[in-house]
Amino acid sequence: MVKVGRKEWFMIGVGGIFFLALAPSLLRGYWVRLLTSMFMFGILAESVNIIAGYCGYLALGNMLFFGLGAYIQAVLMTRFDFSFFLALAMAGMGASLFAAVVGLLILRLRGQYFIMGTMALLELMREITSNVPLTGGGQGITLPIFPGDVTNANLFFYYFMFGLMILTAACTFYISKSHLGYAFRAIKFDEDAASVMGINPTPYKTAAWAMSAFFTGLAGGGYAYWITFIEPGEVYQIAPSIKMYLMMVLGGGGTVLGPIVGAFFIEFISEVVWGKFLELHFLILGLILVFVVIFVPKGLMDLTRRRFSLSKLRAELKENRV
Amino acid sequence: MTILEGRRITKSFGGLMAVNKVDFEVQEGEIFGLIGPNGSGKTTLLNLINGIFPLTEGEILFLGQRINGFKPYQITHLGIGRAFQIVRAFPDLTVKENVLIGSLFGAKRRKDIGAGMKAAEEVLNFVGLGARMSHKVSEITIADRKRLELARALVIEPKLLLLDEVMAGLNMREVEDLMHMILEVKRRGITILIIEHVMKAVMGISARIMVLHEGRKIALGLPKEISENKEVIQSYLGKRFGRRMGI
Repeated sequence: MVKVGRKEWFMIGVGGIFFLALAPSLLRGYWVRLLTSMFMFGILAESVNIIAGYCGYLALGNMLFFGLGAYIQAVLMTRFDFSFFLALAMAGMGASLFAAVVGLLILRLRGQYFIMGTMALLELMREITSNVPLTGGGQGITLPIFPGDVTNANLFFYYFMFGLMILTAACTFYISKSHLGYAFRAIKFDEDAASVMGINPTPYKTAAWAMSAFFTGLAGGGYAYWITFIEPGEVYQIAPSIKMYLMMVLGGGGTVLGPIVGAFFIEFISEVVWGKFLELHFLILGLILVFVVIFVPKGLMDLTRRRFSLSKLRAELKENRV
Repeated sequence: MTILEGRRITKSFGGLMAVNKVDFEVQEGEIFGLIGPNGSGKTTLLNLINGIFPLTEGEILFLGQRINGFKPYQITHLGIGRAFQIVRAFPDLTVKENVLIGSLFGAKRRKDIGAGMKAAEEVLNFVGLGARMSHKVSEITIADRKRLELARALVIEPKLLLLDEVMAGLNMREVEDLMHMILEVKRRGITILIIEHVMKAVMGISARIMVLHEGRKIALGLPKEISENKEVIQSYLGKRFGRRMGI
């Protein structure tokens, strides 16, 4: 593989954005919808990256904020006649505020205890949502349909998710270069050592989780309006939480572009494989994951940083694992 | 003037008295040595001073201010820096980024990343890691990691520096380099509390030395007094061996 420098990344980024911005005029509805969902997972994986990739928390329950965002959006638009964007702002801020408040308690946990805590919260929110009349209970809730024809709706959500993905990546880039990013990385490796270096961990951890929740909540809000019907069992699922985490790991946690690359890779492969081999879908996806994890354990982004060589890989395998 | 004062400092872990009613004063500008056999409570004492463990009893005063109950980051902001025995640098970051973190969040709390970088570079040049700045921590030698640990403690711009066995695992030349460096730090007006097993080093640079044994203070005095103290020799060599040596 070739080493990619800062200048090359900039060119790739600008080229990619340019291409994707023009893509809907060249592609059919199916591809536009597929790309929209790839962008959405890009946002979700990038959000996980903030709390997991940078700050080191095993955030396997991020669908909590997705569901919360989706439901805030749905309830505000249907019951209180909020406009899409106003409700969306509330969805993002609501999820973020929720994360900040619960975070003060739950971010004291680490490792498997943190996973258990977040998953319990996810279950709890699903049960609450299923039993409250305001949210439509277990039957779900139907949002107003996007005004205009299907093509326009597709275009709207395409650009919405695309823009939000770029915004999320831009924020992550900014974080990685700021005090926040350095504090996050210090906390990731050793919280006590970070504290001795003068970092008060609590506000930084909480900020990381709140930011992660903010973007996840926005994606949830957008998703609810896009799909127009949501139910608790669907938006508060554990499986997609794990999927977005895998996407981050696969692309490269703690890098700005990695999670997006991982999201595109898995979503695209999964869609193609799904169409061709319905029954072998998970087997093939699983095999690809196993290979990537063995050959590029630090994620696909790592390929651009070091030259690929079999002998070096063999030495590394001998040293670290097996 | 007293910069750091411990009054009846006590820490017990369950039934084990790790530090037992230790009194001491560190004077501003001196190098204060702390020695004792393995498990005598030296590192625990440092952990109490910089807030990693809460005290069971007693109090710690820094520049006249009571600091027990403070969190490690608050103590860092007051101006106490710490180099760990086990290197605690962040492994995936570069040498420079590691030091940068201290310059951004230490006693100065710099807002500007550029200024933080400059301060980090200065400290790295001082400890002799100028050529290793962009290396990952996992790529540098043990001796360099010890220097990095010192740099990380210095960059927070401390008034008091706690050094925990920064010379362990180094060869004689490296020990001497580090001794010069520590004396230079002292010359710049920073008070130093140093734990060290390399006797030549600690005896050579300390103004006064305190000896701990099983959590208790058994001696405090000038290096010469300490090296001739019966109880100290017995605590290191064991009573029987001490008797055989005629002590």
